[in-house]
Amino acid sequence: MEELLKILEELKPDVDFKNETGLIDNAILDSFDIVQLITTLKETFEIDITPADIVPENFNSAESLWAMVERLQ
Amino acid sequence: MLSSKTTKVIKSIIFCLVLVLCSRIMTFLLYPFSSLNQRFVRYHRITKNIDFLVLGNSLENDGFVPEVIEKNLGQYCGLLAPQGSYPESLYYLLVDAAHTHKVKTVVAGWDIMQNFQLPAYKYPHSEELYREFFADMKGNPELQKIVFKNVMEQRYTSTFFDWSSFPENITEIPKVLESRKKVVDDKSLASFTPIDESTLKTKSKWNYFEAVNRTYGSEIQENDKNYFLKMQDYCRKNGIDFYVISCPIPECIYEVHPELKDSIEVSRKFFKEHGIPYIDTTDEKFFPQITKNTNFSDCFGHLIQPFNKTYTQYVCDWLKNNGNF
Amino acid sequence: MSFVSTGFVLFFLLTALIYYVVPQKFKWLVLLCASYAFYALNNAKSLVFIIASTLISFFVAKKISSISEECEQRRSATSDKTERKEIRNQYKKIKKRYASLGIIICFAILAVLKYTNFVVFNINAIFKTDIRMFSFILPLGISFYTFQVVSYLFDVYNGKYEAEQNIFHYALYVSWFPSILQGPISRYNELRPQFFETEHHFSLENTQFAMQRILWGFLKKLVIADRATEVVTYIFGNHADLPWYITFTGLFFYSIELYADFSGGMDVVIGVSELMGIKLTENFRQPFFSQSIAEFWRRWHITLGTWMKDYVFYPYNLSDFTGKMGKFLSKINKTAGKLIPACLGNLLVFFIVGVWHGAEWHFIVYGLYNGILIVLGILFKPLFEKLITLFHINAQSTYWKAFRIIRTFLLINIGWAFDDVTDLHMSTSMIKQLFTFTNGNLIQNWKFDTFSELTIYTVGLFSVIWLIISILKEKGVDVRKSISKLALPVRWAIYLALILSVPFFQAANMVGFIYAQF
Repeated sequence: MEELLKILEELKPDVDFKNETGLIDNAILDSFDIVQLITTLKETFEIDITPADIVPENFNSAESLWAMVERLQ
Repeated sequence: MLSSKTTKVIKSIIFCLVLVLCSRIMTFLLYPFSSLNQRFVRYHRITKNIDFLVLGNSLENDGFVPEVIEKNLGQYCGLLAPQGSYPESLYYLLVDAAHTHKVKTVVAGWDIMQNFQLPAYKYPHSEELYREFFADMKGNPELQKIVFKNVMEQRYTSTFFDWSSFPENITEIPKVLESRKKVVDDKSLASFTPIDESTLKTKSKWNYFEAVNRTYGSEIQENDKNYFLKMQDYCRKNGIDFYVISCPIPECIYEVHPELKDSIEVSRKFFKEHGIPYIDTTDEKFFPQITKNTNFSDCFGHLIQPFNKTYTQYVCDWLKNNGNF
Repeated sequence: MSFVSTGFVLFFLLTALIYYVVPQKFKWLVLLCASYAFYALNNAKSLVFIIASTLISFFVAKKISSISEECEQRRSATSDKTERKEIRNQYKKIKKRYASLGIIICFAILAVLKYTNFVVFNINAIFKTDIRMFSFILPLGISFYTFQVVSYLFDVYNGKYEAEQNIFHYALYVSWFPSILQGPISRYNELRPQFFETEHHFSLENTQFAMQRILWGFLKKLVIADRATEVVTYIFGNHADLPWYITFTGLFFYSIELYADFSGGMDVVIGVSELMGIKLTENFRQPFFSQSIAEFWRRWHITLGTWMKDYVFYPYNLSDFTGKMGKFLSKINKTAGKLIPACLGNLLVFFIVGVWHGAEWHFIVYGLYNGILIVLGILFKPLFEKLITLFHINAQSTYWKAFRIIRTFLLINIGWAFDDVTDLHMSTSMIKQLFTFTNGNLIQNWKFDTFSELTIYTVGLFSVIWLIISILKEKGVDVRKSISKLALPVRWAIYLALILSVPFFQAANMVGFIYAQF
């Protein structure tokens, strides 16, 4: 989880990823950010992310992202 | 005590009624009784019977003087010549007028420059034209089909808010209300009067280039042929004398468009072929110096006072020599 | 059948009447019949194409779902992790073949009908041949329903939901008549529950709100768009003889015209659908308040943007090819490795957006113009941020936001020079005219003689009203609800004024909808 938070903070430094639950709904991450995030996640955690996984339920908060990563490992 | 649901429904119904009322008020204030629409005939605005009916567009409206016809031929004359009319609309005007008046003679205008222009004139240009005649078309499925199609395709505002065709009349309400009064004696049913010589210099509404920059062909459109033959047929069935007239063309146009002579020749042939008496006033033999530019207010051939009186006189003379007068 | 025609108004009113009278279990059937009736009334001959796309995608999706089922059965039969992965990959390959087949056929139908002549034209131009152009009839809404069908195939392939088993249910999704002509492009999982599961009862409030929305669409189209087009036609047609500020005014009026035409059409579409209790996705969200081009395309033609994002951008970025490219580039430069693939993806998206708009080169340039601006924005972002700190600009201030909004608006307006033109020559000549500030050989005595001053005043007045409503919406105010809370005489006065404004202020001539030929 710490690793994930580090990745997120590197991507967008001025966002509070610990508490934010509307990364998609509040348009904090745009499609470019998501694509870069996915690339990094794929490299770091060696998981396979498909378009079906790119939904707000998975990407809205750091927690839901971590849950997705664990699920795909 | 009514439930809130029922009150809401009642309120909605009342709103719709208020809307219809407002729209009717707008119709009353804006929809004029003039030759721009054909209601006046249906509503017996002219209480005296029209014996001699002149159909056409602005050319006939400016060119004919009803008093001259009455003096010479002894028939009460009415002008039914809305701006921009074309053969198909003239047919409807004829049918509608003949319902209300026992017409003896009809003179229908055949506008050379309008009917032969290229690219061909596109119909209709007035969305509400057919609505007036819907009720009169019982037993005429072809007409009903055309009207139905036009109504379905036109904007909903034209169907449900008929006054939407005349928003500019908001500044002319007194005139519109005036136009609704029953009048015994109205020679011209137009809402505008022809220009005279003095105003000609100051007023030049038409663009010279528009008339000159067109080209003119020598083929009559099928639709135009059909409707003139329909008019002839209708008159035959109802014992009406049917004549066709073409108003004169200014010489400034002939200079640039000699092909108009072919258009006129084609017209002559067509009417001769079908036995329709054709008053060709473009002919110099008919009216000496008729093509002089100063007779007209523009390059489309709108005659000005006092030449229109002379013109009407010549037409009467022709009719007396060639018709049943 | 234009949305503003009497025929269409009577059609949807009649459909709504039948819909609410019929018992719940047959309601969707009424909608299906109405959708096909609408299609047939407009263009009966091209029914064969929409039926073909419906059938092909339905059966392909069904096959994919049954393959997935088989795959799961076999996977659950073994507890070995590697074996399960193997099975999944095997079946994935088969599914992919079917999905690709279905998608390619559906796109091929669209491509052949819409773009053959474009290809022929270019072949003739390059190789100086004289191949005759074909005269294809473009089936109604083919761009829109093809995209819906393809989104369905993609979703079923990705396992987002199971394939629909009832072909008539599916057919309704493909042919739903309000959105067939101009969109919005809907996803199957958005519409399915509304069509087949929700109970729809007549609600007076819903009907009133829906009719208000439809009225607002009519007003935008008949009063604002159709009048603005008079100005635009004159200026675009004569731009070579007009000074740069008039050319810009023309582009500005085109913004108004296009936005009013398209969003007005959307209001009618969404309102008619709402009347039947089916909520469609919004396609516009006050786009001219955008602070960047990227944001503009998240607020303008929203469903096209999300379609591109979900079915072009993400799949492209997640593909093996892009992964390899990214790895290769990151060896040179880490940031490049991250950004370049995404930027190329963006250009690809906007290339397709351009092509989607029409089979003409200037549309492609239009798409790429937008794409390139977005890419430049991303690449220069660090530089801009440095400049902002250097000049001590407060990026949160209203002035800075206003600057960004105006800058975006200007860029978008220049982009229109590639949109509403006959060819690229006209685009370049317009842009050249836009930046020619010297009086040089300009005709001094230009004047507007093909339309009246009333047109400008009307467009101005209603645009201001529209702007106020847009600002309220941007702040989250539900305008219809707020008006319904006002006192009865006040809100009746507002409704009457709006209803009667349309016939009173509408343009003299009827003009077709811009997006209805897609």
